[in-house]
Amino acid sequence: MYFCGIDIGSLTTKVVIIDEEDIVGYRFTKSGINPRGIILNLYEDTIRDCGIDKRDVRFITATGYGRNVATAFFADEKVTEITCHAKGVRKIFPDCHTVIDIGGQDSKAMRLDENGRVRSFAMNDKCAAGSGRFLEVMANALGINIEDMGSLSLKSKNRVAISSTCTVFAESEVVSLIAAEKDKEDIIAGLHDAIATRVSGLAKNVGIEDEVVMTGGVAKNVGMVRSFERKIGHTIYIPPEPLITGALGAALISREKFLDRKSREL
Amino acid sequence: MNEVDEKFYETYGKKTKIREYQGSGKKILGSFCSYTPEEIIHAAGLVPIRIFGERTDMEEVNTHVSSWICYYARRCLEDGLQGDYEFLDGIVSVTSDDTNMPMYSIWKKEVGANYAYLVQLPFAINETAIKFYTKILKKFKRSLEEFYSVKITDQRLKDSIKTYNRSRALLRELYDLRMSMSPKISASDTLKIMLASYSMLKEEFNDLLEGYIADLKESEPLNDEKIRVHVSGTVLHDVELLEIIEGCGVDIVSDDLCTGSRYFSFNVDETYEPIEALSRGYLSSKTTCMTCSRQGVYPLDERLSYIRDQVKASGADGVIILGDKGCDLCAYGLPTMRKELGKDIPILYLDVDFPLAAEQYKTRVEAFVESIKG
Repeated sequence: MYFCGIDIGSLTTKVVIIDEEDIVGYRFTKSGINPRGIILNLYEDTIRDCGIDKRDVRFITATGYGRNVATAFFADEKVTEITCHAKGVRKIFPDCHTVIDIGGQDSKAMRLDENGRVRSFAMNDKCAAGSGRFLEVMANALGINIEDMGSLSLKSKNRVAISSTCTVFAESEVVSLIAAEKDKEDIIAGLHDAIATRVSGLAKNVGIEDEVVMTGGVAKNVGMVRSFERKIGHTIYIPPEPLITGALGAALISREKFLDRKSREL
Repeated sequence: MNEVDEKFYETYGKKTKIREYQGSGKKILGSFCSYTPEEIIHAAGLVPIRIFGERTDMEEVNTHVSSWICYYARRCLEDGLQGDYEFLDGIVSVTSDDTNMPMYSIWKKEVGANYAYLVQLPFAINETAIKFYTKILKKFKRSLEEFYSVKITDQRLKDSIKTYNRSRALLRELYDLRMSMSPKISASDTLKIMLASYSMLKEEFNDLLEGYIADLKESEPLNDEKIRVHVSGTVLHDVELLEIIEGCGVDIVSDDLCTGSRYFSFNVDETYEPIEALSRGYLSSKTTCMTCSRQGVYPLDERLSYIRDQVKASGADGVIILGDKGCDLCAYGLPTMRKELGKDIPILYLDVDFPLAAEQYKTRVEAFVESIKG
């Protein structure tokens, strides 16, 4: 028996397949403008990777911004990314009490209770500040790859203070800093600090308690993680693949729902 | 179209009754606050209504006020500046919050009003304040009498108080049907009725509501197993937001909105001399406004105790706070309120701004529901 979780985010769509014990396979790709096609292709590809029969996948749960599209033609159930992230993170870090997730278009902080249930959460408002998109725009302005931002920022000797958190204003601030011949590394470190300040406000709202885990694409940026650690004064743990915790949580929920349904039928 | 839309919401949306009163030569006065002593306006033979802003595209207002002020004021002014309130003869504002005070002069200057009056509320509530507010209300009465050349007799005041007390009692009855363990009416429908109550003469509204409540009592409860939620906030007239929340598996069973329970949570004691009775009545209202409180009690504590009472009565599983980014009074109080209430009950805080970002609200409310259901 296999169970599937699919997380359709604003930038990336992720699929995770689990069996009764653990992860069997996963894949992710850009979300694009044809959600149905992308969901189906990604699902089929993952199934092929795992070498399993589609008919053995018993339950599919969708999460993320595209969860409604997915349930309309494909998934059995939808659950919000907040619940899914909590579930996925707890599977990897059983002692986690705080989750900070930074995705393409939003950032959120969740506080979990002893049983891994979401006790409170906070999300950013209608604004790109503190999101993956913010970093993409800045990488573009600096003429570097987003993947290199983390390691570059670690070389910073004089972190620059970025005063704007508005994406557009921060971009023009970066352009002025480049014109003032500031080091790229220092500017990037400053950008990370700006996001860390913004998002740690969310985390403080829900209350920070160890262990703190960071998920979402931005968690792959080591400089960003260090900025956060400095800001909140806690060690931050990162899952082996921080992109897929939401989809993993959805897959775990699939398994629970299926087993629950089966036990009720008996 | 359901019964509530037909009987009530049209009255608000199309201003059908207001047009009718205007046609028969009655003068209409608009207000910005549930704390407005409408009985005095009513007793003068005028029609008191509440001003709301329906437009969401802000075209005119940003050239008059800053874009960060409270959405209620901004939306009201936009509609006013666009000429949607041309039927008003005047406005009455109350010093109940930091927005209503400047609104009084901005409206008078920029939108225009033949008659404009600012009623001054006391800050602390005690016997001295009741005497003070009685004088203030007498002054307000005289101002209306002079401007509109009418005599507001004690008898007329007593009749108006009776009408308004009946209105408040009926609205409490309606809220009880919503608060029941098997709610008979949704919060979005209740809000439509509240908006109608602000858009027509209370004697007509009372008859309409009494008939509707009788029907509602006979009707089947809304058939669902939703989680029960208390909604906290200031002035909310946007039905869509409540519909979004309800669509996520939530029954809103109590509130402390000024377009909700704050409007009718008190009674005016008819045994006092009428103006004093109004002064005592409005000042007895528990936390109807955020700037005054019983002496020796912090306004924030007063508000918290009101919310706790409501939550206890309704058996709510959680509280959704609708925060207005442009409300400085809320901004001062909300972090503490969230912390205090959060000790006993799950809290979801929603930043409210228009136009509504429906999908973002849905994600938050659905996640809240999931966290309560476990």
